Amino acid sequence: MTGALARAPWTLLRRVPREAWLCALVAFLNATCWSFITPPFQVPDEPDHYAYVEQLALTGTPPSSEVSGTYASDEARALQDIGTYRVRLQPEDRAIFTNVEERQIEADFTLTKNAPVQATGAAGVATAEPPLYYALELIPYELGESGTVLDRLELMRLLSAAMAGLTALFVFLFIREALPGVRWAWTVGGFAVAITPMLGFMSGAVTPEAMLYAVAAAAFLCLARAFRCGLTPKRAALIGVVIAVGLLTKLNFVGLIPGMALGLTVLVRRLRGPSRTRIYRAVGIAAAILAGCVVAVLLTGVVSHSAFGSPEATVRGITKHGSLLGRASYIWQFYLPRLPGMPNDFPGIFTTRQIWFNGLVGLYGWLDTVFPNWVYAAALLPALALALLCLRTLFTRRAALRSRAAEICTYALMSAGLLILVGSASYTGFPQIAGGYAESRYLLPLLALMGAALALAARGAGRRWGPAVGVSMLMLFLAHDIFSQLQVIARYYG
Amino acid sequence: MNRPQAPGTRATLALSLILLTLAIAVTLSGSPAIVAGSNSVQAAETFESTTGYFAGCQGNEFLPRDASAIRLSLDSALGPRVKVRVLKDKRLITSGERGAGWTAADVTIPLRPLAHAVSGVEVCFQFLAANETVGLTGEPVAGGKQSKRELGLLKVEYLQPGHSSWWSLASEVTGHMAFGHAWNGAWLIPFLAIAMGAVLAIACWLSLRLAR
Repeated sequence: MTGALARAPWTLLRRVPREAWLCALVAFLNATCWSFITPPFQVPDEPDHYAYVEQLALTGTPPSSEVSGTYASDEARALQDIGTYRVRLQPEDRAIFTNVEERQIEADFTLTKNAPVQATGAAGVATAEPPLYYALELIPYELGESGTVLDRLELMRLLSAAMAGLTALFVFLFIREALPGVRWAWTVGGFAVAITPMLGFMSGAVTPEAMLYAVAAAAFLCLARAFRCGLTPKRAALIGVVIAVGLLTKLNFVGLIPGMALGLTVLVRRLRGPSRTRIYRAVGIAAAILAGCVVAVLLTGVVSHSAFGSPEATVRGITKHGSLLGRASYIWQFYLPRLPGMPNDFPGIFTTRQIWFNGLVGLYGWLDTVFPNWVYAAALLPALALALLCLRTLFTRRAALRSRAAEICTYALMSAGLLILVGSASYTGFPQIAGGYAESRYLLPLLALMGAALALAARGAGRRWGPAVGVSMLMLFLAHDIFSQLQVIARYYG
Repeated sequence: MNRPQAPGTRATLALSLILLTLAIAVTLSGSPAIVAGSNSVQAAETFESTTGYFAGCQGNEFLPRDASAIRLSLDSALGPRVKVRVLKDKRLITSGERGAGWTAADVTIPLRPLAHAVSGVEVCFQFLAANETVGLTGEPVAGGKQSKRELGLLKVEYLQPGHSSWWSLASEVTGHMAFGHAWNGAWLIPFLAIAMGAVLAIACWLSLRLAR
């Protein structure tokens, strides 16, 4: 019995297709490359995330102050030496690249290597985040104890890169569960997600979003598995654990929960007889796990000063702008073209394209590294072709869609929840700032759905030509990644 | 029952690889834009933050020949459409426009290049930041806030296509990449090449598997 149990995980792992492992490897290698290409701290909020880990390492407690720019002495010195603030948001300024500058950094590190480092208790925007990702990052942080801040940062980035591998693995498996019919299409969707440059860029950095993407993909996978094979106590408990891990990783995960709750409700209602009682027990266990995590989050105090606004701030936001309708209108326009009768909150801006599409095509660094304008226009062509192919598959398989309406509604609600969460956060800064949080990285928890859409697009070319279209999609996404890396290299080192 | 053999996957892969190689070669044959001139104003501080319609002109500028873009130190999270006109003796000599949606601490606006340099030009720009704040960065002028006629001097740079291709700059760029990271050194480029080479190899292998 013990032997059988011990073998079970290996049996499960052996069932994972080789292509899935390769997609995971691609995502890891790609994110690793990004981690070396992107200069230290040139990813949104990375100094704050590093400060959080350092605070945990030095004091064993999470940061308590949201003051930005106040870091422990070693990090502050590193930021100064590598010219983070000179380079950030200034596309005309390059990263350091002279021997003199390099020697200055090394001299500073040598001089201060044994000096005591005082925690400041501040981690800027990261202060609001739950501690799980940062706690895991303590491992590479401590492994790099004998090195410099930059050595530690790189080791920490490699852990994030490993999470990109997990993300790709879960996305591949999600596609396999959700679209089991055509095996080669799993590879197309899985590889395209694995090589997505925004995933590589974000997962090549120290940020809890790297882990959020993996946990969100796992959430989609668990639900897809349960929809396909039925809800069992184990699966219910696993979903509970995934929700708990997600909540302890980054608060954005909250956006996925309404959809997951809907999915669980549908799955439980489908059960009949004694299994239903067992499932209720399992859901109870899952809820208990979840409740424990919520209490843990509350105890760390992160909810009280969430990056996405405290409850008070949200209320202020509503009253300030008059009505819920105003908020709804803003959130709609945050993603989609304005409808007749709505006030124009983004004059002159087609948010769908200029914020979200262009952002996914390429917006790196501190949102200061872009492609030439014609690239974004040219990218519309393949995007449109892929969208049409995807729609074609959905149309030809509409009967299957109807039979899976509840599952599709679950994914749609998960997506809507996340989008509304980000849109609401943006609204709290409006009208002083229109388009706060308008960054495509916030959409990456939905990578699993993007992978599925791409798999559907490949299938849209038909059984005969589908694989050839799939090959061209693999190469297109690979080219996108290579040119994104070249653009970042040109911006920082050119 | 035999599955129909998917046609064209090998050819598609070969064609894609050729196109990718060509695209990289053509891109690296291009020249990076270089700063052909500037007004020597330092981006010292944001001397004005504005919302709504704004129009301003800055005189005594020097427009270099072949300037294909102008870079203004305007700071915004979601920048509005910006129009630029360059005037000489009140006569328009070139202009450009950048659509809304830009972000960062400066905005680059393409210009129609001129075959000759022109001194003493006036750079005029305008934008409508309806729900957005735009910061003007440069050097404040003493008493500027009171007069409202001259708030400060905006940092302006003029760009033109460089003369060296990325190919000829490759060794310089790879040299730069060796600095400012963990474990600095010349190993980084071979490492990146091997890692991305492995990714390419996996992509090719997976592509060939799609046909089976």
